[in-house]
Amino acid sequence: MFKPTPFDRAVEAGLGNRFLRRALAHTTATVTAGRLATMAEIGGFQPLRERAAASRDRVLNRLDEYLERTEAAVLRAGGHVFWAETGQDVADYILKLAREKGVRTVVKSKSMVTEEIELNPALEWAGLEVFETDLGEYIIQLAGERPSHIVLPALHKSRQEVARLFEEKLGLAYTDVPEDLTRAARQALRRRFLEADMGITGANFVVAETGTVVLLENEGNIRLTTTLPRIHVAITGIEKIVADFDDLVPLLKVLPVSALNLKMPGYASFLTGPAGEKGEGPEEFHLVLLDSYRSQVLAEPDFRQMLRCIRCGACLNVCPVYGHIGGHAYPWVYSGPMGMVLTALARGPAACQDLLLATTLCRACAEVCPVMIDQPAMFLKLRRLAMEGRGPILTGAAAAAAGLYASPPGYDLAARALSIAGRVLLDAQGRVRLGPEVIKKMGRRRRLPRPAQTPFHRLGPEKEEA
Amino acid sequence: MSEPISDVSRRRILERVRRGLRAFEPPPVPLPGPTPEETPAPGADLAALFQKRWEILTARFHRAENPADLEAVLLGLLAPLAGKSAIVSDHPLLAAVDVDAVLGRAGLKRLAASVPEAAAAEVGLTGAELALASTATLVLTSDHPGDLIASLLPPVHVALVPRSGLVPSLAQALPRLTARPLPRAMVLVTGPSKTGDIELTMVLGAHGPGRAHAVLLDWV
Repeated sequence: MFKPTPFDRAVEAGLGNRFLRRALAHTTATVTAGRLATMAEIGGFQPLRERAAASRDRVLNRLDEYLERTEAAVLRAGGHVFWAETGQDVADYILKLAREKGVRTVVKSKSMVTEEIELNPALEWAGLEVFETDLGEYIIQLAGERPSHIVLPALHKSRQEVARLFEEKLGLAYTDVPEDLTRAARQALRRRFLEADMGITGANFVVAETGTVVLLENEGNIRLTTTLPRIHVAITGIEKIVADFDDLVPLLKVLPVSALNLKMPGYASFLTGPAGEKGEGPEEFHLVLLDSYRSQVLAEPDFRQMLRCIRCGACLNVCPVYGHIGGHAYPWVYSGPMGMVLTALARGPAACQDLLLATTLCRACAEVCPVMIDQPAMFLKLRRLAMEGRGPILTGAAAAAAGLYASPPGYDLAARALSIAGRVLLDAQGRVRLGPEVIKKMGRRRRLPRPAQTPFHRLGPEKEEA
Repeated sequence: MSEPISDVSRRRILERVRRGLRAFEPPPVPLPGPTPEETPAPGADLAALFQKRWEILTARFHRAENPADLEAVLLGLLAPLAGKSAIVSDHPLLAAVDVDAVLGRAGLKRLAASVPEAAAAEVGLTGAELALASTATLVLTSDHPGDLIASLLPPVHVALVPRSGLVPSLAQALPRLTARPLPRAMVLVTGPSKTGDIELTMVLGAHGPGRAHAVLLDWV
């Protein structure tokens, strides 16, 4: 009953990794510093987040209409649209396209939706060469690892680790200078960009009115991915639709600030359809609309708001739990508060019992979310659903305990009883001294604070003066 | 290319979406007013604001009062790159000078502004349609062939910016961009290419140009 779960082990691993903890502390502090000041400069966080949330809800509440509008616009612009129910459908479509068009090499930009559906292994297994081009993603691709942050995927890697990785995989003479490593990656990937037959990206947003795919970046790899190869495939979850350019403006303002405290990303591309045979860009454009769990989430009054998420990573950056354990501790590709909700919604709350405990309910995530998602409210609902999945006895016991604590006399009684029990069962150091062996063993990993004689809520005003 | 399988998926996805929308009545979405803007004070010097913010991005700003001035500015920029190659877009702003002559005097060879030849170039010369002062952002579009490639492949990018294209921010730029057929591709460029993926150390020139120059043309 008290065996450590895989999540427990992952947490211990994260906590024990000193470099990771320093990197997390440094990264989260750096990208959050000055965020509110920047928001104030561009119009004020509260007015902007209200408009950004409204832009998202406007589409989500009429998603069918906007999906049809998007499709019509992309077709008008000369592109193709593919509707995919599952990740497998996406892979099948791309592989079919690759076979028909003689595609052998693919360059890819960082796209969380492609991580979600594990696209790369599917393409590679079928014989395609796939190159991640975002520097962080390129590093973890070479290392065979998962991203540890949705915006900064390789933050868990030291420069020495990257140096050794490039030495081994690229035959580069050892150097841990970031400029040299970046230049090596630039050179290695530039060749791939020029040879690639197909470029695959995600989409930050898709504008329904015009069928325009919006892609934000700082490196330039997305521009190369969407300009050089003759086929561009953009994969998007169905929830990333925005009605028109006016609705896009507040989102374009809050996303770069929330992600990296930048007023504008280095490059923002707005791509509408293919360039055609003579143009400066791909001959063919394909938009893939992925449902997966999204239409189910849409149906839930408590959870539809999660579809507003614009993948900025702000909630990760302020989460005290994420900040101590890092992205790899989480079981899926999404981590931090948004990861907890999305994982539980995609896999079912009952399968995510321990994950749903990975919160202090401090509400920092809800405070920084640029589209006003209330993650903690959803944690509580998901926990309830997970509990209900455990059967009537445990649910009843949990409900009874909750009921007892909810009433003042019940709380008083419980506090006194626990105070007495605590002083009987625990020794002076807070270790369990009485009880079954299994409880004593648990007590070796955790020491409980010794209860006070008088419960806190019984301490009168005299204590304050003293 | 509407495959039968895609039609089935399309129908099923839309059905599930519609069912999801019927599941409950969402609270009404407020219709907020126009987006709050960081508006520079009326009569603000947009050029000075653009310059200040552009230079913070580790990019270089130049100004030319007339075509002769522009020639001198370009020669100054390009001379250090003597022996290397350049690509030049079709943007009409570049017709203000005899580009081939300038390149010749600076000692650079001109390559075609299309792949694969363009990949060997050290510097790309482009125009720009608009410039946003508040964020120091240049707007380049596919309307002028070569603008996109020349601002992307070479390690150095030089953009000619018309004074009349300088606007306070995106809110003023969008009506101008959407008032005519939307360009097939638009890129908003804010400074040089950069990355912080290795230990959050900022490095310029990740995949795009590491050195970006904006030349403001006062007479255009």
